[in-house]
Amino acid sequence: MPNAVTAIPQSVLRYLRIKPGTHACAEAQPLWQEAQALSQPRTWQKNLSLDDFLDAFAPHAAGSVDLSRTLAGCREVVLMAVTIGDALETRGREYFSQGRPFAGFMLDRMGSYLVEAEMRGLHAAVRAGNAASGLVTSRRYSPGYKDFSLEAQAHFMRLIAGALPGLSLSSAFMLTPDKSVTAVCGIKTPD
Amino acid sequence: MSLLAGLVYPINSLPAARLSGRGIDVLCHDADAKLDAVARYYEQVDADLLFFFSDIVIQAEALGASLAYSPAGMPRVAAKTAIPAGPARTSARMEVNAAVTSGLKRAFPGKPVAGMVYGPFTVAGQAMGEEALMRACLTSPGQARAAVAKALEGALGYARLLLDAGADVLWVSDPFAGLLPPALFGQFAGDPLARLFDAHPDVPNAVHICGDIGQLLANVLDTGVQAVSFDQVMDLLAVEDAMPAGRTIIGNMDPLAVADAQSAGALAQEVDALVQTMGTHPAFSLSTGCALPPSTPVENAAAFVDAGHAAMRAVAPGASLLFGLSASVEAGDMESAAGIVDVCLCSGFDPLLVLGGGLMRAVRKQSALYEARKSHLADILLMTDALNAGMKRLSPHLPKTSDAVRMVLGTAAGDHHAIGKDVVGAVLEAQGIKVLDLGVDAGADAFAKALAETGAPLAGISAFTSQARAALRAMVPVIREKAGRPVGILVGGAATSQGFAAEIGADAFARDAAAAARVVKSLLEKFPGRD
Repeated sequence: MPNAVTAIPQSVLRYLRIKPGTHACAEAQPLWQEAQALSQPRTWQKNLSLDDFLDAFAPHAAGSVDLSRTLAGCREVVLMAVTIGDALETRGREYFSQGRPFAGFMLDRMGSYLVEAEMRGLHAAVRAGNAASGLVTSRRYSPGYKDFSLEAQAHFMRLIAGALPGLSLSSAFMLTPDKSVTAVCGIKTPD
Repeated sequence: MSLLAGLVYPINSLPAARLSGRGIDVLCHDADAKLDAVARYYEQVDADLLFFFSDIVIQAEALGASLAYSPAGMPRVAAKTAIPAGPARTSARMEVNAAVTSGLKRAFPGKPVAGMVYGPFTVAGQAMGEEALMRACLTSPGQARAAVAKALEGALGYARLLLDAGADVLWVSDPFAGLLPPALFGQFAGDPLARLFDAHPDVPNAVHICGDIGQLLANVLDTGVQAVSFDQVMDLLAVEDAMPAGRTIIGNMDPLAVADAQSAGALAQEVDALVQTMGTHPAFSLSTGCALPPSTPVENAAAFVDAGHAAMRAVAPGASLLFGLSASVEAGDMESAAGIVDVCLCSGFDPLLVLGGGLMRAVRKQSALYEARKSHLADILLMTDALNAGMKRLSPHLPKTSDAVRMVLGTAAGDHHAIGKDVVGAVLEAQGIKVLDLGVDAGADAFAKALAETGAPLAGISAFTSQARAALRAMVPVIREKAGRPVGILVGGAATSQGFAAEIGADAFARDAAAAARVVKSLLEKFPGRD
């Protein structure tokens, strides 16, 4: 008996900017199944003291006012990295070369959703773990946003040190596979 | 098919004035002179629906407005009037038009004649002043309703007169009603129109309201009108889906394009384009978007109708298949699109007609819907999928065209985001615009080299990161300098904007792939390049 096809969640439809019940939604349905099948999520995390973090990420961490605000009062920093691999983006490019841009574009958007969902899940797990110890976890912050330079990705790569095989950095400090993301969050005692 | 569908005609017959040795002021009062002029006009202009040379102020005059007549111009209101309290009357000039209607029926047996009446809201505005009426709608609605009711009374009498004289179609022109907001349209214009149509339920009817009536279309259809004549500013593809089955779309060649046409060939091209777009619709009549001005050369009016007949004849045999093909592509149905193309080819259709009247019609429609914010990027991409499926079957049968690259496309230096560029490239290629994709992280030198090698007239650069935005600022002047010839530069992507594009000297900005396709087509007119 074939597996039941699950409907695309509303949150995904909103992300894709597709209305439920439309032709686009029906066409996206099998692509969502495909995206989930191709996604190979792997995660990495590491805790550093605030001082060690500032040293390891010098000069980029200290140079970011927004990051400093996020980490205010924190004594420890959690580094997080997520990738879903390259199978999904490869398949997307195949769709484009076959003259099926809808499928290619949707797969790309679904990949972005899935990697973001993995990072959300990782952050939530970190938060839950810290909460169990009576600690508060800050929101997460990624290189490339506002004044936290994308170049900080290089520090991540150095610290990941091969723990995520296949993950690399371009000369423009962008992660490959495309559907990969890094972030930091802080840990502090409640006020 | 409705009496009103499948026809070709210009609205009204004002150029007939050129064929009379008499002035317009005489034509307005002399039935014989008017019939002579209009009959001569229709002997040259083989229109499928005839009009008796109507002027917009005839009913206002019957309500008491004073008119100014002149030999060379249409009559106009010289002095407004308070709407009279007494019963509305038909005037001597209305009798002239009734006589001309009967004359046309005798002179051109078998051809329907339009009984052209002006809408009550327009007539009330002509009589008491348009500003006064609009103010009254807001501040003294009772007074406005009374004025419109009196104008309706007059219109009912006039319509009866024309229909008794033999008019086959009740044609109501209500230009001023287009200024009403939807919330007020019903009580001041829509209800009176409905009463006009209801008074003659067995007579085919049509309404023309000038300007963009997109927001009012639902209100207009609520009057029960059977056919809507659209102004030339409307994109018929954007309103097509809003017209219920069985109601006719009439339109909408720009009357000035007819009046100013320098050659029959040039006019025929414009007519072909409109008919390829709308001629496959099951309920469409080709007409002008408004009345041809009196100064229009009669041979131009004749050329418009002749070209229209030829174009409608060319699409008629395959109309339902082509319409179905367009619908399949719009809906993103790849299998159906490919299948219908196969059927068309097996049936001996001209491949260029399949391309223009089927596949590209869908592209134009999605573009029109996107402009009207009735479709989104996902719809454009689904359509592109189906377009590609159809083109795969059709291209081997199309005449060889130039393989010249028209646009060099890439993501800016330092940026590795490919998806936006990939979508733009896919949409452009599907629409026949050949693209050379430089990939991601493409610098000014790469663009310049590609432009030099291909001779492409356009460059398209996307940027999604702040670094790429900074790189783009430096790239544009370098590309221009190294190109050594005028090139059109389009920028897009999350890191760009309309203002940014202007700041860095780009020629255009596109917020997404659907917008890019439209912008590229207009850029190619500005920067045609070589074939």
